[in-house]
Amino acid sequence: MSGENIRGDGRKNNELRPISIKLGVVKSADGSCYLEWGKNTVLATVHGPRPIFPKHMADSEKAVVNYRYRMASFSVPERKSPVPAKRDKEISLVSGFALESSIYTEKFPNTVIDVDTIIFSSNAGTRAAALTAATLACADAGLPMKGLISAVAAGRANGDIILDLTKDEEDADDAVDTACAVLMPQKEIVLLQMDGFVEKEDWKKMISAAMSGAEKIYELQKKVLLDKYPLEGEINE
Amino acid sequence: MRKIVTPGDFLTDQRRKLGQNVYLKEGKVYSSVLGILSDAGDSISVIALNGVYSPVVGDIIVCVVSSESFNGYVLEFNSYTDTFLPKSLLSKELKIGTMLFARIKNINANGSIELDNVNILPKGRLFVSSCVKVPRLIGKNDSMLNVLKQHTKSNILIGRNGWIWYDSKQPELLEKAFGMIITNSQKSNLTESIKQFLEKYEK
Amino acid sequence: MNEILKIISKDTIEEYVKDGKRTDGRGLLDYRNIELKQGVIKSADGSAWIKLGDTEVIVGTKFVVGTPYPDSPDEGSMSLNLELSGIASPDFETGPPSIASIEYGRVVDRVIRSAECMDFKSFCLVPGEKVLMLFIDCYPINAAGNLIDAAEIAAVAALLDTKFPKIDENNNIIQGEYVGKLEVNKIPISITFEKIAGKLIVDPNDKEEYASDTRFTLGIHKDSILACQKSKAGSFTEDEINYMIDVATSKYSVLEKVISDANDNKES
Repeated sequence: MSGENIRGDGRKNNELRPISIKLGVVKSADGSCYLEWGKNTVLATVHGPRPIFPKHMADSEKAVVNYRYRMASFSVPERKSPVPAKRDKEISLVSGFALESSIYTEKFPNTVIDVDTIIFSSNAGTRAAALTAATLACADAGLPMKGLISAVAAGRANGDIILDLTKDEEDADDAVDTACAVLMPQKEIVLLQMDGFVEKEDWKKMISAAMSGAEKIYELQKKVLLDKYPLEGEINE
Repeated sequence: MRKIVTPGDFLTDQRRKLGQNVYLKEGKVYSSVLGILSDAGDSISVIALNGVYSPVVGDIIVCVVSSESFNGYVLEFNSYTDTFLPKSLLSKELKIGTMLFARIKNINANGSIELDNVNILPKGRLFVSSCVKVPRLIGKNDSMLNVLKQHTKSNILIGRNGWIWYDSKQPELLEKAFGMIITNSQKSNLTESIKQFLEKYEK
Repeated sequence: MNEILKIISKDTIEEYVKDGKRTDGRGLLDYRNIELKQGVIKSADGSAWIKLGDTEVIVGTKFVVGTPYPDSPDEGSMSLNLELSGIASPDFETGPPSIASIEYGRVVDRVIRSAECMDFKSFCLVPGEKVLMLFIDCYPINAAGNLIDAAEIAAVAALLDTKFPKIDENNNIIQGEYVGKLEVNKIPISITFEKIAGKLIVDPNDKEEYASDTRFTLGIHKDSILACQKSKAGSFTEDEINYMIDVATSKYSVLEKVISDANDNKES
């Protein structure tokens, strides 16, 4: 992957957009995370584990994980109806699988863990942003997990294999777009969705780009978690 | 120097007894939560910085009646499950919202719990904390608890489940102190700092 | 579990209110601290974020091209929607709108609509064929009481922040380009009361809402009443209604100032 190409927003091929993260922003939730990623803004909350209703939905072996991906009506240029579209439901499903694989759900039979994410403004890569925030909200809530889910999009635009596409890059003629979520530090891929037309060699470069992008996301996520609890310092009133 | 670890952080590849919030994979021990590493003695564990209460036999918990059936009451106690208290164990009728404290006598194979030493709490207020903050709220040898009781003129009962019953002459000050302990729980000399804060504002 | 915590607090709240106080230290007619910021969502045509005590709401506006109603062919319109989701409270479930979210949204809509604070004729593109419709979407992020007032104040702030979109020669919106601001000629304010132990309080928190069996929301502009809604199963006397109108009109200028301060600070 060439490091010399400069993209529309000044980034190199393997550069991420700026990301800023805050934990514990919604007090009534068990865990929460607010994340800005380029022009994306996303909020994730976790409620649970808690008793599940109706009772017939319960799994006697483990917690049920309910993941919801939603977009605010004003998050995209043309107003989107608040009613969840098929796309939103599909993303909720596969993202839920990804997150669930990281949580020790067997520790909480007959319960539910509700993970809600909402995109307030959108510019490509929202499902990755939502999952990246959701895993931090789970860690913030103290859920026992095997690791963190680090998610990022990789693809191709204008002939180059690139990391973290913007909306403009997604709209390019030869665009290929792959959403990838990885359980870290194990490097196990738990979400992979792709759109486009790509030869095997480029596909492998894309996956490799996604994996190295996920590593960068993981480092960021760890730093945010560690920064939440400074061990020294003055007592805050 | 205390160390904070995140889920999936590698802790050690030495043979150690596994404590809380860790997991073993291919001979290596990892943290399963965001917490403080506890590596003294023969076992390795992580003290979670947040999380739901998991019942432990012997714990004293504060619980609340949330519903009634013909032969007993359902009690909630800040956990991912609730428990059933048969009327046969009680000498009085309870109402929805009655606060009790009890000891966890037994945890059955299906996860349900049995209580004994059930006592009805007198009229008071409930403060909700995460159970992980309870050791800090009580302090070594009840040091923090005593500071709170004395300097706000309160009766306080802290359940291991994170629910705190209290009856206080200065409830707003006490709640503020609870909040400060929770926010600053990982810092050192906390008991002394709280004592100084309360001395400023107590009446 | 949230439910049981509200049940426990009820007795204490009633005791405090009988003494003219509230459990968070406020007087019966005191508001919680309010933070208000505009322009927080760049993809919206206008937006605002409010924190009223612990209650938080984000509001965004979006213009859409549509057809006018037959009885007003040269006017556009507004539509307000309030979405309660699992984000805002462990008690809310995402799915079809609950009756509570429908009621809250409609009350906020009525307060703003009755103020007639926008000129819908300026939304007209082609009389009888194409007009602009303004959607105001409210997303509570934390429901800690008084969502109606919080959402209404944030919605008005979002309107003041709203820019008029640029229209091309086919009367379609050119996304991301604007020509000037939406004109808002009045600032309507919603003020909600709850009755507890026979006493009336403003700006209830979530536990106080639970402890009350009667609610009254007033939409106010200076000394005029724009809209009102009585809800829940209890009742008010005529004197109580008139008392609340007096209190609400006296609160108007303080709350109006919160909005105009946020708006002035943004512009400077």
